Amino acid sequence: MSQAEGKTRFFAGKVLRYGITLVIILTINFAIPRAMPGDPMINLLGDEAARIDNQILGELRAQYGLDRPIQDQYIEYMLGAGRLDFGYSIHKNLKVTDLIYDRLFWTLVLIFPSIAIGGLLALVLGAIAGFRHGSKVDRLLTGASILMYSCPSFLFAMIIVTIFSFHLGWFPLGNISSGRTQGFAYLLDIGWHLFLPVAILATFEAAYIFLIVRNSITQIMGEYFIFVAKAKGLSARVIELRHVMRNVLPQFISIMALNFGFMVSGALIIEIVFSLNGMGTLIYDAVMSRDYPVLQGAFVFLTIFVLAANFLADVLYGITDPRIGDSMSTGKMT
Amino acid sequence: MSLLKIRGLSVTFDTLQGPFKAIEDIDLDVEELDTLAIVGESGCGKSVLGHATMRLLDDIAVVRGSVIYRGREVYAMSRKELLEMRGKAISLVPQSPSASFNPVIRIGKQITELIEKAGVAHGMEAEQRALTYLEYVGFSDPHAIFGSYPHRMSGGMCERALIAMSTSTEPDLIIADEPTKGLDALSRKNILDMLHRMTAESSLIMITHDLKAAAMCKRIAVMYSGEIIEIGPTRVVLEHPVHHYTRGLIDAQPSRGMRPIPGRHTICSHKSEGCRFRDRCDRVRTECGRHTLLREIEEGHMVRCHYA
Repeated sequence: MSQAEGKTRFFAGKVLRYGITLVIILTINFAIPRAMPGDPMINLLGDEAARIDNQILGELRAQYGLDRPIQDQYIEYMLGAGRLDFGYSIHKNLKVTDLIYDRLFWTLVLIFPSIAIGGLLALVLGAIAGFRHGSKVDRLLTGASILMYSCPSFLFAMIIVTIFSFHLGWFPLGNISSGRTQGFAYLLDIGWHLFLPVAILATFEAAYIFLIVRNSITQIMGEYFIFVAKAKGLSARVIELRHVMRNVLPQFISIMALNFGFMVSGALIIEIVFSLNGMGTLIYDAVMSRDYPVLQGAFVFLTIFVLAANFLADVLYGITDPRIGDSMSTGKMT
Repeated sequence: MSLLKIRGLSVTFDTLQGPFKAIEDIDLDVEELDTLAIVGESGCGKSVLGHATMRLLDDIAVVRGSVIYRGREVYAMSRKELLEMRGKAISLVPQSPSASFNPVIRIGKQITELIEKAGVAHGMEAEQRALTYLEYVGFSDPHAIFGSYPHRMSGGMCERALIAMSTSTEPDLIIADEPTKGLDALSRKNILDMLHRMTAESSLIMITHDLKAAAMCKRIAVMYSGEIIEIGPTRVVLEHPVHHYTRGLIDAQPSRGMRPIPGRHTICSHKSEGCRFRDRCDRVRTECGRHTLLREIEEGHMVRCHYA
């Protein structure tokens, strides 16, 4: 089997496996609300359901397709999911997909810079601590990041808002923009609004990835090939940048990709604290108002993001680590 | 002037059980184009001696004594001088070939970075030199090896690539650390032949526990528990060993019936008093409790034993 052929087979296998995972998750997503006790219409309508007569309830059921056999509902749901069509939001009377697209955009605007800044910070600080293993700088940075990592994000976010927005008034209390500006000033306004949430998300991201980078460096510094590089008379800088960091890269890139998937939903707390209309607040509101179509749609989107991030992590790991790359094309390990 | 002159070299590691002397009071001279084998059981301090010669243990151990390379004290060299010396003047062929290469960098790049660092050649010229040396060590398709990653190669192939790398800068002295470890008989012979061919213009210190490999060197030094206990011309030492440990080591070879030396090798030398081999020696007497130095019993043949 040629290498190209092996790679194609590997990717075909991967795509198939991710496809199966997606179908299973979609099915669970379909089954959960239906497996719950009680009538979905009564759940949807809440207290009002008691005052509505049975005929109207029946009509509502028909409107949502709930009177049809379960297999028909499943097929229709899956076809809808295939077109990313999840019907209408019960509360906002908007297409679920449009609602999600709008919110997803702002979540991405929030998390892209957070991940980029956090990752870069983690890489630089992790290298500083890792190469000075056991030093004062290392102990300080490691201690700070463990403290940060174990601190609840909502608490930290609220403290920051209290200090910088409420008392000092340097930054707005929330929202994505003041809504009064246009053009370049509008972008600046968004930057000003997003400064604190991005800083907080980036700090948490950095605290977590810092520990991975630092430990990875410490471990690689003890490898025999690093000793050999020293015996070759290579300078500390060349050893650190070329030999150590090159080995940290696969792990770093894949953890960044994985984190990206989780951040789409993980920014929830920050979105709520700063009243940003992203995926997090959308899900929060949908839970509060029992807006099942929105919840189902959001869940599918998050699933797709997490799976895509996993896939990306896999591929990037293979590209940056030839050992994994080879096992991919020979199919020995997947 | 000797190429390398080692005097009173001791290396002490700080362990949880207290200080551990890996080698103690080593004196050794290596002349130009000399080939010296250092033999002994695992843990006797052979590799530590090799590493300490290149001053590679500064960060992890306390090193005392002196290593003089071409009249210059290695332990007084500046950082820059030290980096210049390593890989260019003294080159190490490390042990564990598969673990010696960085797994995510192509073999060719790892060889050229040494050639460029040593200032022997640069750019395309350095690459060409790496390819030439890969060819010297017997690779019929050096381009393939140049572009390959270490995990795609067998242990024997990695060993050959390591020899190509370490000799590509034409060093004055090559320290080969267990070059035949873990190889089958045929590969072992190939590697040894190659090593001797590649080091025809250099001096060689070969660290090994394989007496057959050692027999290819001009001189042999036998180490036991961190000390050199016998050193001399290879033929003299192998055919007329004086120290009882050397005799035991020769008798333990498969070709000599594989008779084991009684007792256990005490790697930790807390007791610096007296002969370290006395617990296992069948000729032990009261004098063996006193420390003894290496004594020359004939031209170039020295033994550390009261009864030599």
